[in-house]
Amino acid sequence: MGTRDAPDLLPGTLDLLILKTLVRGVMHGYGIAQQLKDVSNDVLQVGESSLYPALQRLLLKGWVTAEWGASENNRRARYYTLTPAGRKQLAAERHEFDRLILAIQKVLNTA
Amino acid sequence: MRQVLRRVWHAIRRRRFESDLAEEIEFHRAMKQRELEEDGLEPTEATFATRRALGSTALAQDRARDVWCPRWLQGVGQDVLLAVRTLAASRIVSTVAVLSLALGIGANTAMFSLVNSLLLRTLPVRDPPRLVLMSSGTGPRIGYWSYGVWDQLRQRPQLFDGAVAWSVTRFDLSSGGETQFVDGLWANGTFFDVLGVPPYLGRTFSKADDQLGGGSNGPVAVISFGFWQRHFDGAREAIGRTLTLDRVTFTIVGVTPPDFFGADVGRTFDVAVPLGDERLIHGPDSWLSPRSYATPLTVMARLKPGQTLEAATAALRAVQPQIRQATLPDNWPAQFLGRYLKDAFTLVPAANGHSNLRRQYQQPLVTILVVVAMVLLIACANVANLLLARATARRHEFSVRRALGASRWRLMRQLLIESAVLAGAGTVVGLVIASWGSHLLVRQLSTQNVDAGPNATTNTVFLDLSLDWRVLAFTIGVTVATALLFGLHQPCGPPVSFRWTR
Repeated sequence: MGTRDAPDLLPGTLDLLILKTLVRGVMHGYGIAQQLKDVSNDVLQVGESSLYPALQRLLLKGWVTAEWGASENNRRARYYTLTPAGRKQLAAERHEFDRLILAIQKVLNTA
Repeated sequence: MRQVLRRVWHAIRRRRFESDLAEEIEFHRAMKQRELEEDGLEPTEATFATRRALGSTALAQDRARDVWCPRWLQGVGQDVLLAVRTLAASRIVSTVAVLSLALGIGANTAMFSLVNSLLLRTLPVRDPPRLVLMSSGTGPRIGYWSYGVWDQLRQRPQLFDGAVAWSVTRFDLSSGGETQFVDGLWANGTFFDVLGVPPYLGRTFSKADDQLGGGSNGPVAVISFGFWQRHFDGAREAIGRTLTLDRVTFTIVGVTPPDFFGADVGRTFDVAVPLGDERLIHGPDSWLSPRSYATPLTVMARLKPGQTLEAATAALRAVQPQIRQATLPDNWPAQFLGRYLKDAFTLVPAANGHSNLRRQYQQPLVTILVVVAMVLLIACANVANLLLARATARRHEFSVRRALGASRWRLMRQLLIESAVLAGAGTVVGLVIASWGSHLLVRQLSTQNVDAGPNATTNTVFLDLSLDWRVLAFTIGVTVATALLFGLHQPCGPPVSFRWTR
């Protein structure tokens, strides 16, 4: 069991990953963390101290909305939904991110 | 904008947000624990492992809070409450401080609102920057003009985007018995149209009203909003009623907007009548003749869009010889006539109107403003001294707070907020003093003999002293400066040496 937090991400990347994860549908914080972990083969382990501030940031910007609901084990959980503005943001950021990664790869591949 | 609203909403429902977040994080923790238990860990072991895996939940909460409210802003509300309590505890010192600040800030605001209305504020008309005043000579001298010159100018509409002429006067409102004076205005037919002052009620003048000896609708008058309220109680039926002005009956056709006081800063008008009706009142003494030597008129023009002051002046000077020649006063000695012909027309910017009061009081006002600023400085010094004495008495409190881990900046902020609360209270009281003081000052000016042009018979001074953004910005600026000035003057706790024993 790794106690390591997610490796240092580029600024804004966590927001992007959360938005992308929410495309699949409504999810609570724990679900988002699990999903990120599973999809990335345990590479991305997001701690609470990054996940929840990031979610609050997205709420503040109006890219997600939150609503309380019952979880699968009948506890109260807060579920996050992507808003249209969030969808737009995701598209824009994704494009930006691809450009950045491409640029980084270019730098790394030339030597 | 919506983000700001969300932040405010968050601040209002802070408790709710916090408990929601705590519950959410707890849910996360519980889910994690269950996951570990399903992996086969002992419940107690799983609890610890979860805690280790997730790290500090307090940190998560802190960071989430910082998203909504910048760290430096948190606790300002508490500081303000604490400041109010601290100040209330030493009531006499605080009262003295607030009162002296109020006097200082009040005096400054009062003077500034005079300066503002007399020197800075533009006329409440359409596009004031395009207004120019016609003056003679080359200096900033403000000229008065004869009817002849105005008449010539009026016949050359290609010069400007409209021109206006007016003269201030005083009318006797009574139809017999005791005289009752009101501030009057002779205004040419296009006066309101060129200035861009729409009627509040009824209509303003038309060219047809401004005919020598009365227009096609007979003698008409436009009254000011203030006069309408005072004299007619704001009744709509005032339109069509008649007024007796110097024994001549005028029909009221319109009311001007509340903020319009004419084009003279420092005066206001009750009744405006067309220039051409002057002959009805003055009869044989009328100055409405092309060669009259009386110069009662102030002339203002509106530049065409894009027309520069220089271009307009050049155009005006080009027709100057014709105008001068056509208006040579009768029976003047030759040397006067020579000078009259040569005296050059000049245009000066007049976005803030025409004012004799301004000419007279510009320098004294600015001087007094500097003086009252000094007074405020002295008030600041006094308050700083008062607070210094108190700060010395509070050393113990600050030592304890620093020992408990409060940063120097945090203590400084506390002191600054106390200063701001004091200065704020001073400003509130000061604004009351200011509004009272500035009106008093204007009344004082009114009793002096103000040179208001050749035929002015009245010396009531009117200045629009309502609060506008300039005065507010000035007062807020003064308040902040004051608070900083005496706030930073206080020592915040013992610098380095802590004395634990006394």
